[in-house]
Amino acid sequence: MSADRERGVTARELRRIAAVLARYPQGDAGSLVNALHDVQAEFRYLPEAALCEVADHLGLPRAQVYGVASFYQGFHLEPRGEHTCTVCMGTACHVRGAARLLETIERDAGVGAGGTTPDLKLTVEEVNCVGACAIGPLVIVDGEYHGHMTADRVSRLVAKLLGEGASR
Amino acid sequence: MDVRLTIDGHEAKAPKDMSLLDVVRRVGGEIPALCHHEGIAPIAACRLCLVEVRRPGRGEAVLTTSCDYPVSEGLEVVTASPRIRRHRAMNLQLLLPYAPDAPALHEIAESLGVTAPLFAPVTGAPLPGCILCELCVRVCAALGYHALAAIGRGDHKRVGPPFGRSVATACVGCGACHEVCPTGCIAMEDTATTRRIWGRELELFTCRRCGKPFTTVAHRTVMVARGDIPAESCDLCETCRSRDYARRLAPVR
Repeated sequence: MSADRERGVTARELRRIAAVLARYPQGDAGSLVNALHDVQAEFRYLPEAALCEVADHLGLPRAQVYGVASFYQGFHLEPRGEHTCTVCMGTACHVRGAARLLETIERDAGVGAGGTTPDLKLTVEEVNCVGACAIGPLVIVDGEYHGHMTADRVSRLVAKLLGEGASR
Repeated sequence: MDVRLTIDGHEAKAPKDMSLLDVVRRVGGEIPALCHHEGIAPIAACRLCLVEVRRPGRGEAVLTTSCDYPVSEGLEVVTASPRIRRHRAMNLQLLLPYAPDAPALHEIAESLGVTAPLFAPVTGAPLPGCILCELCVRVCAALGYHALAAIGRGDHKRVGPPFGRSVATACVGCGACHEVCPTGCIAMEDTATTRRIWGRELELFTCRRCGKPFTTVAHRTVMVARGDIPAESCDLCETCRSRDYARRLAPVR
């Protein structure tokens, strides 16, 4: 279908989307957020084609589905890295040098906060506070908390995530 | 089913669950509102239609938005009080920086005695003058086009074409969003043959009789396909159409 080619989606991706949507009855508008979670688990983000397929399957306007997906911070509309590195920017972490940590990560990875490396290895993020102030400054790698972080250690962590660990 | 309620001490009757704002306006009461349209479900975004309501058997009157408040039996409503005025004024002051030039806001400001916004005018907004009432998004959806979306959240929130595009690809150029926008921030430009709106350039359709353009070809095509109105009525502008009706009605007299 030419419309699908326009959206940059392959037949294989369409099958993956269809497999996720098979879990939901057609026209079940109430399942929107659940369906978006499942699609994101499959692709790590929500491709435009997937949003359109979800909308059509659940009988919702595409614009509305886009509105919902763009509303929640947990949904991503841009491709995400294989790994995620999140720097806590809360007050406690801030006074212990979180800004320096973020700077180090941004420089090593070559992308700013909120960005993803072109090879889709790593996404860099900031978060306002995760409530682990006692062990700040804090960096979270793929859901794992690393407390009392230093610029040196975070540099080594990032190198490992970017797959440069073995060559050093 | 009708219910009875009191509005500023006067008895009134209204269908149960009708919007309190619509009921008050129907009996001639005045309540300011920027995000409300009688034909579209309310979202209570502008917060200017605040009133005080007391349900029978409940103690104090509570401050609430009237547009999304369904009327019920025995409701006591106050539409003007110092408390209401104070809160409406504050909410308007919060809106003013987003649309400092909108006449509709100034009109309400004057009635509330508001002289200055609460902070400096907002600059660099994605759609200057937009107060995020979402009337454009809602009217577009109600008409079945879904060309616009409410995007994002908080201070990043905006209205516009979905999927990060600068052009609303599903827009037919009916101009309803331009029409309902309370601040007039949606640009719609007609030249002799085309209409520009939401990044689109759409060919205009001219009246078969007088030759005056009155909508876009795309909009007319949808109207004809839907069959809501007779196809021949889609060929004539409003003036020529009402002339036809007048001619048809003339012998009746």
